[in-house]
Amino acid sequence: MLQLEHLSKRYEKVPALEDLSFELQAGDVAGLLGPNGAGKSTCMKCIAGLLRPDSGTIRIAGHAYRSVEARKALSYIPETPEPYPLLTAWEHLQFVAQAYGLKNWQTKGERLMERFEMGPLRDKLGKEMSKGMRQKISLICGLLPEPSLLLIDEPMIGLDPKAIRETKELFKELKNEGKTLLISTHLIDSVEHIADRALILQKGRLIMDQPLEKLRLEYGQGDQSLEDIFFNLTGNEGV
Amino acid sequence: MKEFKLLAFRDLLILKNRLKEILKNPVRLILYCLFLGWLFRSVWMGSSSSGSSLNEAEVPEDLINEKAYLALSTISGILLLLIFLVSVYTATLRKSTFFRNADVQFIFPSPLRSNWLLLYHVYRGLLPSMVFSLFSYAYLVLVIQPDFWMQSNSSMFLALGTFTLFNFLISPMNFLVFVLLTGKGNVQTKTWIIRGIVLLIPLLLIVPGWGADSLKSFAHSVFVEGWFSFLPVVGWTHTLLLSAFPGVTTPIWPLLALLITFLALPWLIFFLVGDYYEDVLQATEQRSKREAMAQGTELGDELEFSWGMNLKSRKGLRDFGSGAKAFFWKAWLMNRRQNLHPVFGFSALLFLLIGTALSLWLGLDDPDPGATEVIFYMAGTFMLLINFIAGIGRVRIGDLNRPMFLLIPAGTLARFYYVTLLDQLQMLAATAFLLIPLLFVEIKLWSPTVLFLLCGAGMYYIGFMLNLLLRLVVRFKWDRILLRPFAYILLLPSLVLPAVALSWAGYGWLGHPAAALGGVLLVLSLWLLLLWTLIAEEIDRLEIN
Repeated sequence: MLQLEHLSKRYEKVPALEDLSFELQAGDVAGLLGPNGAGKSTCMKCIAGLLRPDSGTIRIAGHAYRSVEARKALSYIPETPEPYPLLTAWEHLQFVAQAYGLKNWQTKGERLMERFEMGPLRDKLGKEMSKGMRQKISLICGLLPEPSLLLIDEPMIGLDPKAIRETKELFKELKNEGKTLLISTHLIDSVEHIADRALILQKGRLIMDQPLEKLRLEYGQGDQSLEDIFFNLTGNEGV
Repeated sequence: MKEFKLLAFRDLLILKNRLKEILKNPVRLILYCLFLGWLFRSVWMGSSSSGSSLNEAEVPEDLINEKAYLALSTISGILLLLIFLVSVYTATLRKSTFFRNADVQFIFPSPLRSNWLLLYHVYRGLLPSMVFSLFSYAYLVLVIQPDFWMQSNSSMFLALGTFTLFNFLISPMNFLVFVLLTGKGNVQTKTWIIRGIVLLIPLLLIVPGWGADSLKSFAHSVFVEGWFSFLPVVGWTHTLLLSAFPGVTTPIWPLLALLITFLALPWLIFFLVGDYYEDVLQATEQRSKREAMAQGTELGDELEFSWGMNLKSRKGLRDFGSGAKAFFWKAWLMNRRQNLHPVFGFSALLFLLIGTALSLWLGLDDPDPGATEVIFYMAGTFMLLINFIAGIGRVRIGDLNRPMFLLIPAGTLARFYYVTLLDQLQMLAATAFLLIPLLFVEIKLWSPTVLFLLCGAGMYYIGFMLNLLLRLVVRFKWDRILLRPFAYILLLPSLVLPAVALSWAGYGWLGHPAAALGGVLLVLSLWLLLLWTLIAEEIDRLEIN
């Protein structure tokens, strides 16, 4: 579903990603983990086509990552959602539905809005939304086209406890539906029970790409959490 | 054209919501009705008074003041060229965009064709200027044309329409330069080629003026008789602007050339866009950051807003003292990192260059004290306007929006003074640098120079306080936008006319131009006192609440 081969990206002289390669199959749910400045967001933005890699190739569902076909298969939910200040929550859904050419999307849209308790707020303008509401509407817009690959950058930031629980449930449902998820997060425990694979980045390099079970067996001691294993691997650098 | 349909749908939704916001408070409509009424009346009155005979409109040949025409032609030519070249050069330094963060998030990862997205946004960005320019020209041709030179506002409409067109052409041209530099090819070489062209164009001006026996004849052969008018965009705009001068006929070809460029540029961008789309995120984030900084919702990022040459200036920071002086310290520090010097920066140097060029032109060959005085007072008046505009612009800048503005332990006057002090020093430096070189030609102008500096400071604070007052009193942004022109128009009877009357009285009484400027200063002082009283009251009210 997603192939990255020898991807490199520099910001002037600072390397952000160095020779990054990994592959996600349909149905994979991977947590992209790493300390601050490890290159997680850069990696996500490169895949979404919002940053130009200096070298390397990206393929989505067998297509070049910037092609219209590749983007039909992809949804990107950014770390800092920025809705249109003068569009209402529901109009954002309308806009996304048109962009993806969706038919009969309204029922699904309403269901998602209800699930994230956005139903009564459907007429709220983007500029009136709180951080949590923005996050929710961004998530809903990302889910509406039912993409095969979801790139989710820090999905839990700004969400209230109920929405966090709903999001986790939703990720599990998507996993069961065979969707591919790449979740970048600081909150390691939030992906512990969802992801079946961990990709750990440090200083732009992929230092670990393992299924979680294998990771626990190889690097965990007893009942260590993913967070403990992460710190063992990255030498206690901040997440 | 799926993309155009989608984006037009989005913009219609935005327009609908904007209108709904306006209609939330019906009282607000009074303002909009007044505005529409004024617009309708001006067109109606213009068309009903346009029945005068064509013979009246004919202007005798000798109305053309050759000296004034040459001065106007040279100054406007240099200014247009400078604006154009500086903006093209700047385009090689920073990223440019037509998008907002929401666009990047919602439309760029969607299955849409990027080139069409860009084409739509470029045209949409150009639309307001195109409509305004066409409105100006249509008004000129349909309403004023029959007695064109008998109406003082005809020149204004022509100049305004032309300059708007020129100004907005700069933005897609900058964008074109930027996209040419976003490819994966040899960006550095392309950058230097563009910068080379920027240097080459002024050097080429020497060719038609080569062999001129004086600076005046040089200026004449370059800007009036030379091929300057054929210089793309700059020359066309220059020719159109000059036709606002009494007695000069308006040629149609530069207007057509500008309009064709206006329509063609987005297509040029469409075909040459290269790898721009993958730089769109950075460009858009930078723009949002700049806007947020201007609105005061975000502090500047040190690295991004520092020009490399000033990074070394972190050491040895000056200590200006405590309390409200912290604002001055912060402004000093940020300016030092972005400019050659916090006070004597690029803009001051530009004015020094213009002042020196003017004094050389006026003084070196055929010295004419009368002409020097005319140019001096024109330049001084121009700087008053620039000071006023700078004052208006200052209200947008961050400090006033931040909690620290109210929290810092200092008096209200001190806080305002130190927030604006550096800006004021920069304006004083620019005004002085433009006027002082002219003293080498005509030394007796020193006292008006001092008075122009004081009046400049007054105009700056009037612009600043007037806009600030509007901001404090009128909460809804669109009401402010609408009210602002009315506030400026009100300045005409309440500030400009009394100032002119008092300056005439002063001049009549003492027979010296300095006395006239003294009259202007007196009116400005009274205005400042009035505005400060209103602002202080309003701030007290806000702080208590």
